[in-house]
Amino acid sequence: MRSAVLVLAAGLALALAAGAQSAPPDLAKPPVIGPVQPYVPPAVHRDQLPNGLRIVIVEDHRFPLVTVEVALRAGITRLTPATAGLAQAEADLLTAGTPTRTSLQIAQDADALGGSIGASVDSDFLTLSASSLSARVQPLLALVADVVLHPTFPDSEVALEKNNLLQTLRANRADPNYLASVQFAKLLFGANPYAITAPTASSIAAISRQALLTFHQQYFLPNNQAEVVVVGDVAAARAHNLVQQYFGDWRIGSPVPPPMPPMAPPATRRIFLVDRPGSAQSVILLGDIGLTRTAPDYFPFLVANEVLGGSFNSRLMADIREQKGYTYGIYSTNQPYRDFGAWTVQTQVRTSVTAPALAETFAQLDRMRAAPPSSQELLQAKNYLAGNFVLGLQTQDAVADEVLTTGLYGLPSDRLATWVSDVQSVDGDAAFQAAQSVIHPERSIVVVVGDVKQIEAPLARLVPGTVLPVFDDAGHPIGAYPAPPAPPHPPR
Amino acid sequence: MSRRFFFPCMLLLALATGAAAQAIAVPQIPFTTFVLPNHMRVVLSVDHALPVVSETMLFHVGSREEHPGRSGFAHLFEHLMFEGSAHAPKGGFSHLVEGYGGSFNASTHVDYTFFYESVPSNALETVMWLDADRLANLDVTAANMHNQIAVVEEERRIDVDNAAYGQFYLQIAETTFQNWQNAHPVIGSFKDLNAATLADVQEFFREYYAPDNCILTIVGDFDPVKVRQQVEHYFAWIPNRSRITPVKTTEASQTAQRSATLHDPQAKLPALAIAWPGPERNTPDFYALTMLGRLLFSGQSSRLYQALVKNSKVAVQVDGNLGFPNADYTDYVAPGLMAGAVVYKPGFTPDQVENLIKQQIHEIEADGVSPDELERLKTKFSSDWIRGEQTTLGRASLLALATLFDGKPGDANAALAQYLAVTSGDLQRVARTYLVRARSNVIVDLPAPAAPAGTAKGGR
Repeated sequence: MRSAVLVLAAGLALALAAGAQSAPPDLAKPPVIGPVQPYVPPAVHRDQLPNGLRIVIVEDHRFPLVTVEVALRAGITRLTPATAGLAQAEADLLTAGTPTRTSLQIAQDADALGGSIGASVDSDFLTLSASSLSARVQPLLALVADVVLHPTFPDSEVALEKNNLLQTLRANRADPNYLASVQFAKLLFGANPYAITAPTASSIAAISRQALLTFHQQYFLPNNQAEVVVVGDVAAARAHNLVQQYFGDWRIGSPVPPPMPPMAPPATRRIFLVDRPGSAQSVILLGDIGLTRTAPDYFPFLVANEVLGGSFNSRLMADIREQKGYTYGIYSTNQPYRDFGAWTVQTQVRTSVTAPALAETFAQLDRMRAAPPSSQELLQAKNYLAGNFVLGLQTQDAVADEVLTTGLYGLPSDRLATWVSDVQSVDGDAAFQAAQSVIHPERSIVVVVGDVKQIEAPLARLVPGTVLPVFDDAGHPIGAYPAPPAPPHPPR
Repeated sequence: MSRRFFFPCMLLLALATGAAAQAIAVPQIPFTTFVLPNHMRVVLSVDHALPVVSETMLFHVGSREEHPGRSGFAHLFEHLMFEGSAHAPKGGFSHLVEGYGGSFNASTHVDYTFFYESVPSNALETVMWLDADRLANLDVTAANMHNQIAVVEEERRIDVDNAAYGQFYLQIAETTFQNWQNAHPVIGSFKDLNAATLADVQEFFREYYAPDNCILTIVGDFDPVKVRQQVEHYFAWIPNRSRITPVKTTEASQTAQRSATLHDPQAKLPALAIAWPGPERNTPDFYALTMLGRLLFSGQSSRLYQALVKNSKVAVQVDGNLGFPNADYTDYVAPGLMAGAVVYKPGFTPDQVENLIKQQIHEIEADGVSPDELERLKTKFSSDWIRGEQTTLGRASLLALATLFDGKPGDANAALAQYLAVTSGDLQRVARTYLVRARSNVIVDLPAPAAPAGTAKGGR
C-alpha cells in the first residue's frame, strides 16, 4: 500500500511539472446515483395452431436479422441407458439430409440466407435453432420446416455420426469436468431418466437409421409440447402466416410425457472419486436435488444461491478464490430441469488443496443454513440477478431462449415482464427458508475427479467411517470393494 | 418511456457485381469521439433500446510487451486491476458493480488488455468512478499479488496443464515465431509468475496503465452531453507517466517448414495444427486471408470440414482462421499467423491429415471459388458482422479495437466493404503466397499413455 501511494505521488509530481492536467476530483466516496430505469419488455405474441403447435413471436427491428427456434419434448429423458446418445444423434442428423437437400446443401442454404441452422438436445427438450437476414425469413422457415418435418437420416450420415459420437466420447473422457458431471448425475438421479447424460460405446452401437426414424415418428409431433419461436425484424402477422404455412399441416399424434419416478434426496454425505492419475487439479462437484422453475420457492432460492455462489461477489468466490487462492473460480448453480432440479457447487482446485477446499466449501454451506443473509447481501444479490437479467436480453437469440423457456416449462405467460419484480420481492426470511430447504451439506453427494493416490486419504477424513468408492473414466467401479456402491436413493 | 432505435442510417452493401447482386442493409454504429488533454482517447455511442450501458478500457499492452523472464505479467496485472484501489479497497469493485446489477470481466491478449463493465444505465457514473480510481490510485499489495499469482496458476492449470491439447494450442505460436516477444504464451510460466516481485508489478503499472495508453469507450443508454462532462471530470486529471521504448517484435522470414511433436497424456485423440506467417493488418492480403480462413475453416459448409470430417472421415473437429487461436480479424496484428487445428481419429497419420489440407489449398490455388460460393461466403460474413453488433459490449469492443488498430473508430463500420471487395483471384493469390510448404509450421499432438486408472490403488 505504501509503495502504491509512492507511485501515485511520483505521477502527480510529473503532472504538476507538465502543467497539462486539471485538478484531481474528490474521489473519496462513490457517486450518488439515481434509480434503476425500468425495463420495458417487448410485446410477446402467443398463439396456437389447430394442430396444437404453439407460436411465440417477438418483433425486434433494431437489426435486419431473424431468429427461429422449434422445440419439442424429445429430450434425453426419453431414453434409457441402453439407448443413450440417440437424442443427440437425432439432433445432429436433423440437418444431415431431407428428400430435397443433402447435408452440404443444408449448410450452404443456411450460409446463403446469412444464417445458421442446427439442433441441440438437453434433458427435456430437443431444440432446432436457426437464423438469417430478416429479408430472407421465408426461405429460412422453409428450410427449418424441411429439416424438422422431413429428415431422412441417410445411412452414410448415420454411420459417420456413430463413429464421431464414439470418438467424441473418448475425447470427452479426457475432460475432468465431463467425468464429474456424468458421474454426479448418475449418483444423484439413480433410476430416474435425468441420470442419463452420456452415451456408452454399446448405446452408440445401438443407434440405427430405423431407431432415428422411430424417435422422429414418436416425438416430432405438434402436440408434443412443441413450440415455434420467431424473434426479429419481421411483422408479427407475417411471421404467424409463415409458421402457419409451413407447419399448419403437421399431423398430431398421441405423445405421453416420459416416465418420471419420484425422487428422494440423498440420505447421507458421500464422497465418490473418479481416478485421473497424475491430474494437476481436482474437480469438485457436490450437490443435491434442487428446484424446478415452477417451485414456490424458486425465486427465493435463486437469491439465496446468488449470495452463496452465483457470481464473483458471492461468498464462495470471496473466500475460496480471493482469500485462500485455492481456485480460479467456484460457483453454485440450480439447474432447473422440467420435473426436478439439480443444485450443485463446482470448482477446480490444485491437487494439494483438494480436501481443504472441500472442507471450506462445507463450512460456507453450513453458514448459509445457520443465519439469514445480511440485508446488504440480500440487496446485492437481488440487484445482481435483476440487472443481469436485463443485460442478458440484448440479442435476438437471448430473447428467443427466454420466451421459449416460458412456454416449455409451463411458466406464467408474462414471465418476461414480471421476472425482475419476482426477484426484487424476495425477502430475507424467504431466502433463508429456501436455503435451508435445499442446502444440506450433511447429505450432499460429492464427486471428486483427480489423482486418487494423492487425494483419497485427506478426503476420507471428511466422511467418517467409510471407504471412498472409486470409478474409472468410463464410470466403472475400480478397486477392491465389498460391493458396488448402492444408489443413494433407490427407485420407487 | 420512449425507446429510440439507435441506428440512424444503414449502409447498403452490394455483395456481387452481377445481376444477382443482393444488397444487405448493414447497420452503422453511431459514435462521437474526442481526446482528453492527457491524451486519453474516448468513444461514445448512444443507444436507448434497453436501460443498460457498457464501459470499456482498452490498454495497448499485451504479452508482446513482456520481457524475457517475466512472461504472464500482462495477464497477472489484469487480475490485479480488480484487487482494490485507494477509495474502493479489495472487494469493493465487485461489490459495487455486481451490487448495482452489473457484470464485469477482463481479458489479456497478445497486443492489448481489455476491461469492461456492463451495468444498468443508472450505475454508469459509478463505473466511471471505479475505473478512474483504479487507473489513478491502484493499490497493489504483496498480499494481493501473491493471492492472484495463486489464482492465475489455477487458471493455467485449467487451460493448459490439466487440459487435453493445452500445450498444443500454445505451441502454434511457439513454433511459428522465432522472436520470444511473439512466441511466448499470454498465460506465462509458473517459473516467471513465481519470480514476480512487487516492484516489478508496480513498474508495469507505471509504464503501461496511463491515460495516453488507454481507449475509453461507453456504449448504451446515456445522455452524451452529461457523460462527456463526467468523463472529463473523472479522467482528464489523471497524469501520464514516462514510457519505455517499444519492444522489438520483428520476425525473420521463414524459408523452410518447421515441425514439433508433443506427447499429451491428457488427450485421447491425436491432433494436428498447421500455421503460416500472416500479412500486415489492413492490406489487401489481410482482407483476402480473412475470407480464405472462413472459406477453409468456418462452419459445416467449409472446405476443410467437408474434406476432413465428411468426405475422408479422417477428423472429428476442424477449426481455424487468420490469427487462430488467439485472435481474429478484429484484433489481428502482425507479426501474426494464419492457423488451423484438426482433431483426428486414431489410425490416421499426421501426413495424411496434412496432405488433405494441402489438397484443399491447391484446389483453391488452381480453380478459385465459384461466384455462388463467394456470394455465400460474403453473405454469411455480413450477417455475422451484424450479429456481433447486437450488444452494447460487442459494439464497445469493436469501436475500441478499430480505434487502437485502425486509428479511427469509424473503421468498425467502414472495414466491412474491404472484406466484401475480395475476389476469387485474391483468394488464389494469397493461397499461393502465404499457404506454402516452406512457410508452414506443423504441430502434432499425440496421446501419450497415462498410468492406467486404479493402478495407484495397489494394496486395496
